[in-house]
Amino acid sequence: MKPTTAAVLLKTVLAVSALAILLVACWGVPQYMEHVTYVRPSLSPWVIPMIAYGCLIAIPVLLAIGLLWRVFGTIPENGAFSMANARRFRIIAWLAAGDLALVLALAAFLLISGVTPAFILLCLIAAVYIGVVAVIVFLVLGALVRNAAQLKQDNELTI
Amino acid sequence: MPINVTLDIMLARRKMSLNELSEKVGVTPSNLSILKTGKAKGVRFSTLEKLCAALACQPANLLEYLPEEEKP
Repeated sequence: MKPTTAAVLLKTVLAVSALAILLVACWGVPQYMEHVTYVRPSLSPWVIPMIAYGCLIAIPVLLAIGLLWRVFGTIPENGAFSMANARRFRIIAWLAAGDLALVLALAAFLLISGVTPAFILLCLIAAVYIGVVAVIVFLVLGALVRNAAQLKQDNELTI
Repeated sequence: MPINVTLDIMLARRKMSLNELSEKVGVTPSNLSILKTGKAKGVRFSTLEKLCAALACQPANLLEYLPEEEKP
């Protein structure tokens, strides 16, 4: 597969993911909260905080998508293995850690409040797992790309 | 760097330009310039062999070791 084609495909996946996240944050969460308050009117004070929380969770993900867009943009130029990309992966790991902290905060809040429906707990466990995996993967990826960038630089300066 | 490349001295002795050497050796002028200015991190043996053949010299004519305190 040509690097240009790979970059286009990857960027397409990112664009679709960003749209999906915006859809969930701006439409999905409000719709879900509307349903929840219909079933349990006592929860209506939580609508705005939950929508705000949904947006807060989405922001680091959208920033990470933006950084990955830049990383994929370097692929056709044969510049994937660069210190700049290594830094971007490290930043993405920090963004994932931030989101993980938000999810853990919500989990702790729900447990303390005694709100423990099985479905919500399962979703939170899945979200924590995904967050941990994302942090580890992007940290390791950043370290690998940094090593590769150093090797590439040494190779380019070996005549 | 303690290893100094004296390519410019050999080019002057052989009255050869960098472009001429580049054509003989098959290395781009920019890469030869990197070598000449001491910015290279290494030289492949194959490149060293081609340089020695083109300049009719020994590797010792192209490379010299300068300990840190003796650097000019």
